[in-house]
Amino acid sequence: MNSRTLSQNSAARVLTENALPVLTVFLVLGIWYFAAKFMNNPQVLPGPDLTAAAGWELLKDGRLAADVIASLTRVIEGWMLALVIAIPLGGAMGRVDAVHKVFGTLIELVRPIPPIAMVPIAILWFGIGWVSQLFIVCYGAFFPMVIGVFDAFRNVDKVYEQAAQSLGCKGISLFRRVVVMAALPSVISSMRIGLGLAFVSLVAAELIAASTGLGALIANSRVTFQTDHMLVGMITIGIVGFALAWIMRKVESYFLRWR
Amino acid sequence: MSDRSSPIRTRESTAFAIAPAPGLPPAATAFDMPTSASQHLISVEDVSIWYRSASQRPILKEVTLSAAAGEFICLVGPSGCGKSTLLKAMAGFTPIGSGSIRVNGVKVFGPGSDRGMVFQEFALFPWLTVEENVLFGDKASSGSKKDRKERATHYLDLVGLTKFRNYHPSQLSGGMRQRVALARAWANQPTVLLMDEPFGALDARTRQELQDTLLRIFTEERTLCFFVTHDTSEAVYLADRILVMHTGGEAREELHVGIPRPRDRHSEAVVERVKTVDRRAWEAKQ
Repeated sequence: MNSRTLSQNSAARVLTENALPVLTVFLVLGIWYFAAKFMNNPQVLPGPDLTAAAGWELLKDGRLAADVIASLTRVIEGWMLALVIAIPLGGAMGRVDAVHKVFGTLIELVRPIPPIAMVPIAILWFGIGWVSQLFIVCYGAFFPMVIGVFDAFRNVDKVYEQAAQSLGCKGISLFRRVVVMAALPSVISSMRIGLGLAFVSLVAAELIAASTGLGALIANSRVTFQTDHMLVGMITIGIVGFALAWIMRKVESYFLRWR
Repeated sequence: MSDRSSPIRTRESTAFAIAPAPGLPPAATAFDMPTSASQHLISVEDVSIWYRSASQRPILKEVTLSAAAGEFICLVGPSGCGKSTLLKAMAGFTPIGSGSIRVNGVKVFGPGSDRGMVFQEFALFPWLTVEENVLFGDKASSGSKKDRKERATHYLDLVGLTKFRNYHPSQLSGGMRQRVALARAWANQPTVLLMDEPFGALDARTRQELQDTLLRIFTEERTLCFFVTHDTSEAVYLADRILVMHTGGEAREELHVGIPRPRDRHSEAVVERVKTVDRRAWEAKQ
């Protein structure tokens, strides 16, 4: 009796956790299909069938893969550059009040300016190309990470430090063995958020300042009226972003398996 | 003072030695441990702590106490009486305003591994296993791999958690976590062990189990213990001496429990002493 309720419960859980999300995606595909059929204008709204065909075509001649790789490379480069600056700076701000005083207000002032608003000035300073893209991506990823890392280090529970100090742990050792470890969960989740924002900023950068990449695929297909290619680009961005977030979650749960 | 006519005192005059009036240094009573300055492991002299400035009401007011090796001392009193603050000052977490705290004659500046700490919130490092937590301390982690293994086994055995050495704290219940914290503190061989309401977050049954575990380790290791609690029955069950503190941060009086261990929680003697301590603690609230 008891075990039956339990198995029913878990069957219900499997349904809600796996089947329902897939179902929603198919539902949206269905609505899209009939909307496209009703509208009957593939220039404005190609159906999922036409989009899939275009996607297959782009996949076959390797253009899609090239765009994905171009975009991912930029994301990773920009995100890593942002990481290298945000982690030490955020950590120092979280631990040393003077560093927070120096950079805190400045960061809060610049942070509301969205990455897309930096595109024109990036083009002006760095031209159209790799440096501009790197700058925009790095800019987009930097602020959520520096704020997240700052919070992570500032909010390390005092009781861990006190426990460690009472066990004779101090200085660098205290920082490395306790403070960093206690901050790690929030640092990793802000890295994940940063990666998401790096990806969003990348598309902004590529829409204007690139000839390859998924953003460029979208921008170029608007000029050539290839709406199906545009949709392929958009959907690929969705899928790649989803995959990146999924990978980061796996990395997170690997490093934080003690939780 | 009403305690002069206390039934405990008349019936069993050795049970409770009442320290002199508040404000005066506690004179040695007939039942004090043999005390000379050199034998005091820890001595707190005229310690006052103020919130921000000396003009404000103090958190601790001219507290003086001393303790010798092998003693178990409970600090009780209403919330806000400064008992936790006193403990944190001894641990070196809270800087003192005036006076001094000495451990083995050496003045305390900041925290150190001579003063072990057990917290109400356990404060285990969740990223380490049970065994790694127990071996975290500077002394606990010394020696060869074999020494460490044996040390971990010994202390985990004392708290009955040898089987859980490779677990992470998140996999343990609250009571088990606090057992690990006890093992961790003891494995580092502190001169004095400071416990800040360590069982306050546990349910009544687990609390009693932990009290017995604590007494078992204490009997074996005889480390000087300071134990903050607001539960007077816990204080009477555990302590050799109980220091009742007063709102406003005064150490009001010292009560010697004087019941041989193992104690029976429900015995008349224990119940009577709980009543007495309750009354003192309640008086201290006024």
